[in-house]
Formats: sequence, structure tokens, C-alpha cells
Amino acid sequence: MSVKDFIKGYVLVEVSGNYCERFLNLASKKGISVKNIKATENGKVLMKIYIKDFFRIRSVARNSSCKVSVYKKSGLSVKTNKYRRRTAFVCGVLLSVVLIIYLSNCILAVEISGNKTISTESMKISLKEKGVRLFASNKIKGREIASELLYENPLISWAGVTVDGNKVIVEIVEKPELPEIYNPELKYNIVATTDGVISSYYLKKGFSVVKQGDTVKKGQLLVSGVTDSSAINIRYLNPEADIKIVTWVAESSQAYLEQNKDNLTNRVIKDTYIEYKGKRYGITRKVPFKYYNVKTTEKTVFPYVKYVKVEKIENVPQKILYNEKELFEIERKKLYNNIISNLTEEYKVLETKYDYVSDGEKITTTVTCTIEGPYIEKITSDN
Amino acid sequence: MAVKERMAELMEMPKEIILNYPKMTVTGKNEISVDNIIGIVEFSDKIIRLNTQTHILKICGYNLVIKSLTQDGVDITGEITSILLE
Repeated sequence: MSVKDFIKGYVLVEVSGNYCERFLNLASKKGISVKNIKATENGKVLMKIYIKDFFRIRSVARNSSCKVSVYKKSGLSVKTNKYRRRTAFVCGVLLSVVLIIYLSNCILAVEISGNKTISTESMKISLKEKGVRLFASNKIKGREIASELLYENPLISWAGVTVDGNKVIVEIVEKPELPEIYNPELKYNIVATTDGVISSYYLKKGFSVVKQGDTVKKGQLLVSGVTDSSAINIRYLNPEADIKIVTWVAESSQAYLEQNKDNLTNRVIKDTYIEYKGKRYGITRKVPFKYYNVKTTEKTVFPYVKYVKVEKIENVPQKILYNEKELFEIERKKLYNNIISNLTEEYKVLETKYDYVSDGEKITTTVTCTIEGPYIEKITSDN
Repeated sequence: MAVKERMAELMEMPKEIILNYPKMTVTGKNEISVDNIIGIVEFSDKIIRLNTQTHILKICGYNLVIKSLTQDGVDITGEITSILLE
């Protein structure tokens, strides 16, 4: 079937009778275009007639004493006739085709990778200005955008922008952190960052001000980068030293012996919402219990659109009466973990002391840790 | 008719236009198109007989199909074995 045949629409008819030739001659004389005339084994003739000519063959058939029956219908007009009553279906199909074409030609996701110091949000804003945003056309000039990113942001050493279907992948490589450059015009000093006692003192470069075993205060000068002697003129150095200071860190907390503890039951009320641009749409059911905990889970199903599930779990608080030792143990562990959570590998806990005071209702727990570590920092000053 | 024929010869004009003589174009062994026909006399998948101004044209073969039929001409395809002028 040619394109012309499909657009015009045709009917495959079967002509039977004793005067099929007469039928053909009359049809051609009437200007009816007849195509693909085939003789079948049982003396019938199959032929293709355009739909507009089909209604004109009635008189031809009558005059030639032939019977005409439709064998097959095909073409655009036949198809449209079929779907004429199903307008909603046709509209739906057309709409979905338009949507597919539109959505396949726009950006639905922007993936940024490789950024460590540069925030993803600032990258997104920068890309937005260059036309890389959600629902914008995915026909973007990746190389130009990458070079613009490089030009704008001095922290980026390489950038690549590629389009993978509906997703724009932005890969960046940040410049490595540059070592601190010694500025000879500035005066560098090493000072203590805490009060304590110097446990080890190893000077690499600079001029020592204190010695091992000295008690120092926070901000006290430990190594100076400036010298002024009679032998040589004023000289500036970038001081370096491995200094360890022993210090004491104490933390305390109060806790009541009688406490309320969460007791979650199996009664749960689940609400689901669709969140669009911060607004939630859905039905909120009445909660039949007084106290409850809320657990919210969100899932992004489409840009700006989130599926939110809110679970309200009944909570019947339970009163628990601790004894002093039991509560002290809990609080002690909590405080100790709190202290060591702020320490890096360079710091070492030498000694730990625990103590508590009780007034019958509550206990006050104190944890004191003796910590050794490099509590020093290098500062610059113009003085 | 004789005058028309002579005139066509004198003017060197195509006879199929002036005299409505049939014009046959055979392409290979499988296609034949005939212009200026009057009508179809017989039609089957083995024999097609066409009426023209001057004679009856008999086309024999196998699986003969009339590709298109218009007021003036016909295009036939199929395995043509013989063409007879009766």
C-alpha cells in the first residue's frame, strides 16, 4: 500500500457475475480509477477502488449485472471513522504523544558530581543561569557551558557537561588544595589553643619561648617566628614544631531518677499526601489516641512533586524509676562518648575520672578526662 | 480515416494521437501498457483480450494482473508469454 493509497483510503472489492469485463469497461468509462485487478479461481475479480469512487460503482454494478461485495477496507479515512466516536481515547493518545515528545526533549534531572568544596546548590544556580534547569530544552551546548563554568569558578580545574537522554550530567574536578604559602612580610607564631601542661616539645623551625613541663594558657605564645638579637637583624621565620599539651576536659549533666520513657504501641494511623512546591494535598485522618510520635517518609516522584507518607504511632509514655548507680552508668557513658566524639586520632585520653552527686530526686554526673594532644595553632600577626 | 492517416504521415504527427491507434509499451517480460483501448473483452489470470480501434489484442501469460485501468489505457503485469494481434 502506497502513501497515496493510505491517505485517500481504498476498498478492496470482489466482483462476481457473468460480465465482469463489462463492469470494468463501464467503470473505466465513468472515470472510476480501478487498480490491482486480479482474477480469482472461482471466476470472481478482486480490485482496489478509492473510497470516493466506491459509491459510484452501484450503477455500474447494476448495468453490468454484477454483484459487488467489500473484501477489505483500509486507509486513513477508515481509521479515523473507526475512532470518530472515541474522541476521549483519540484525545488521550494525542495528548500522550505530545507529552512524550515534549518530555523526551526536556531536562528532567541535573546530576552534579565531583564537587567537594563547591556546594551543589551554588552549582545549580550557576547552571540555571546558563539554561540548564528542569523542563528546559535538552538541546544544550555542553562544551560552552563547561567552559563558562571553568571561567566563572576559579576552584574548578575541569568541567564536563553531557546530556544523557533527559538527564544532564555535570562532572567537575576541583583544584587540589594549595599548600600554605609562606608570606615573608607576615609574622608567624605558634600559640596554645587550650590551658594545660606541655608534655612534649620538639622544635623544627622557629624560636622557642616555652619548654617541656611548662604550664601554658590559651593563646599563649609557644614558638615565635620573629627573632631580634644583637648578632643578627630582625628575622622572620615560618615556625614549625611538634608540641603536645596535656589538658583536662570536664563535662557534667543532671538526670532525674524518675523518667518518662516512650512506649510505642502497634496502633498506627497512616496518611499519604502528594506534596507540590511545599504544599501537601491529601486527606488527614482523625487520630483516635492522645499521644503519638510522627514518622514522615518522603519520596520524590517527579521534579517538585513528592509522595509523602506520614505515620502517627501511638505513644503511651511509661514511667521508669532508676536507681542511682544505674542512672550514673548511663549518664557516665553518655558524657564520655560526648567528650571523645570531638577528638581526632592525634588526641589521646590518658586518664578518666567519674563522679556523681545525688539529692534524692536527681543525680549530677561529672566526667573529667585528661587528654594529650596537639592543642596548638599557627597564627599570623602584624605586631 | 485514410485522409487522416495521410495527413498524419504528411505532418509527421504521432498516429496514436491523430488516429487513436493503440500504442503498446512492453517493459521486459513482465510489464505491458496499452494506450487507446476501447475496452476489455476477456479477463482472466491467463488471458487478457483488449479491444482497440484496429484489432483485438490478446495477451497470454500467467498470473496476469491489471495494475491500473483508466479510460484510455491499461497497465498489465505478470508473466507474459505471448502477445497476439487478432
